[in-house]
Amino acid sequence: MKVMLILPANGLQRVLLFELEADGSAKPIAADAINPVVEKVDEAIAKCASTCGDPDVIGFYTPFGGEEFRQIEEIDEQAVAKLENLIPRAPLHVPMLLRAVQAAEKAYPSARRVLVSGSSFFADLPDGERHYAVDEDLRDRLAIRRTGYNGLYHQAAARQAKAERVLSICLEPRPEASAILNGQPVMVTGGATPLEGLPGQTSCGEIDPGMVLILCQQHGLGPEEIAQMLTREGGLKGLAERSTTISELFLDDEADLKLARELFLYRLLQVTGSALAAMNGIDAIVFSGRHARSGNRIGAYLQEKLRLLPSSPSPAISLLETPFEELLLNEVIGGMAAAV
Amino acid sequence: MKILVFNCGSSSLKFRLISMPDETELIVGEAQRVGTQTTEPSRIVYKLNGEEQVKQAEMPSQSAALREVMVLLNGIDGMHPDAIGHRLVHGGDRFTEPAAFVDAKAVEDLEAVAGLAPLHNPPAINVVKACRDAYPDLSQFLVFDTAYHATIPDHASTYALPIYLRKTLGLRKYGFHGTSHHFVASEAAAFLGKDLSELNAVSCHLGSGGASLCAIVNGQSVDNTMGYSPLQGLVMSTRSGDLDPAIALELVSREGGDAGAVEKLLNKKSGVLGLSGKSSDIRDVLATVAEGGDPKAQLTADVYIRRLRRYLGAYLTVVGRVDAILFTDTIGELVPAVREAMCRDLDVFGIRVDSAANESAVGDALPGDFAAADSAVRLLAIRTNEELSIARSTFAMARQAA
Repeated sequence: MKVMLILPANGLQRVLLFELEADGSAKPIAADAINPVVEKVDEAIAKCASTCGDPDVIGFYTPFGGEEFRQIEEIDEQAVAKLENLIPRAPLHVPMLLRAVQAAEKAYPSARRVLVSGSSFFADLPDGERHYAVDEDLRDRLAIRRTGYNGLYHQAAARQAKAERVLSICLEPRPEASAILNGQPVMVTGGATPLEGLPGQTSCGEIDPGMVLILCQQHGLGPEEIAQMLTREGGLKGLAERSTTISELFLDDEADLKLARELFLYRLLQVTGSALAAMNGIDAIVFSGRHARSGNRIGAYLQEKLRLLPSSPSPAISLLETPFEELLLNEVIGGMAAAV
Repeated sequence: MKILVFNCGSSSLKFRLISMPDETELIVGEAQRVGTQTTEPSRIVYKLNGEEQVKQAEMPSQSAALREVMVLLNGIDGMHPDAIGHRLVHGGDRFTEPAAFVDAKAVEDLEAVAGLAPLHNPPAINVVKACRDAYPDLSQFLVFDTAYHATIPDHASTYALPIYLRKTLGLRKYGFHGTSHHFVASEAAAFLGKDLSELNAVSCHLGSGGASLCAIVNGQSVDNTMGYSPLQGLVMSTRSGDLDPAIALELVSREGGDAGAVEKLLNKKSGVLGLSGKSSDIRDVLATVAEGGDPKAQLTADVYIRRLRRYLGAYLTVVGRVDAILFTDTIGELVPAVREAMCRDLDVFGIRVDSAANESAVGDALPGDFAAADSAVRLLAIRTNEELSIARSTFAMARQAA
């Protein structure tokens, strides 16, 4: 059985193809021409169609999904309509995803098309965590609610840890942490959009929302300018005054990254404290994502701080280094098995 | 020494004359209905020797109110002030000491920070200037809500924003309720028989309006849940507290660019009021929850308490070796149910609540410790007294100058 995965990466779309062996393992059909990082997903799909034969299943991925996509789903008309509702909150990503869906449908009309959402894991966040302190109009009509976006990582982290109380820290360019109690998330740093929470490589994370209003009112900045500053000029880049990565912060010791490093660690320390309160303890901390390796140093720092607390919690620290494609592939295959 | 403390509101001027160092309150009062927009006559109400009194006086401005209050005080035997402490909200990074002496430089700095709190700073600054003009020989001092937080380290006060926003526009965390947090920290240290410089605590100023938590190490503030503005942090009576910045931007776009409308929405129509749809007072909400059957009330309580616990857990971990959690102001002093909900299931932090002690630690019974005997952390409910805090800071500086 051939499984194609289509997933967003750095504003582009990756197209990957795997062959499922009889023993359940997945072999990447390794040919650079078939796994290109291309600008136009329909071109990539068309290229695949011409070289390697039809996939049986096509798995699409979106970090979004709101509360509409609670688990892996077939992409039928209803699903497309639900995706269209998500466009206002993800005006670049969702249209690109829909174009990929259309292109795939055209190229492989008989393939099963399924959607995996990074938010599904958070569909049942407790109400007290999910909601902001805003009025009904904003809560319901505008659906302003908190969710997480890296559910695949967090879910896998909880499974790897095999512990009751897990703090999952996903070190992607937009990092996200989640407190997971008995396999269910009870806290997450993501918000109504992926901008909230931990500072990212270029994104500001949690700030005083009043400052956004002051920038509009007192400094005459327009919404696009402000959005650009918050999402592309902020974060570690804003602090270091140059582009950098989470790995550079923790695998090197550059002096000019001191403020960025200290602030990032401080925010993670606070998140750890919030998780301790949410679960009355932490049994395991798992680092995942592109910069998972930084978890060694971050984990050591957190352990040192936790030892100062009266009960001296000493959670096991581990790294989840499974590549994202594998997590996604497992989710798609698992979804297929469940559907059968 | 008699210290006169002024606390200026939008249409009122509160005053309190306190004898230092004995801390005896000599007279407490308020000039009410100050300003020409009121239709009712303005007046001064005050309590002297246990008796409530009223004096009618025309006060079309804060400066006029100041004059009338000073005339009143100077006309009563033994009520002449030796120094004045003014309460102000936002001192920016110009005012970082517990109290600042009012000289020409201070007045310049006041002008510079007026815009940081556009509703609160200007009327208070007018009172300071009027006072200085009318009584040039009377020593005056400024105590800012932000000053106690001048010790917050860079990694906590910096936002992850580009340098233009951080340095040129000065966007950083200031924190508020500083006089209150400072006061209850001092009281807590005394209660525990320690020097303030030895106290590690998390202070919870939970007011009927605003609220903030403060992380305290060696008696100094190292973090506060409010930010550049009082909007950030906890769920408050009508304020949202934390909100995804992208959503703040989205709301401005929805209002056709009217950031003022969004500011009003998030500051006046959100929080407990926004969630419950009925009341801005968490006590009302908790009473409804106890009766059962109102899902909005339950949601309000859930979101409110969860946000408090999120920050409590964060600050307990930041501080590390915590001597006490401090609870103050209206809700902190009077609502055991909120304190209990904040402190339950926190064995990981060594916290154990004595429920009976919690129920009785209210009002006149304060200060009180409602932690169980085997709790590693004391749980102290302490009455705040911002005017006394201001008098202490003012006296400390005034006695040096004298």
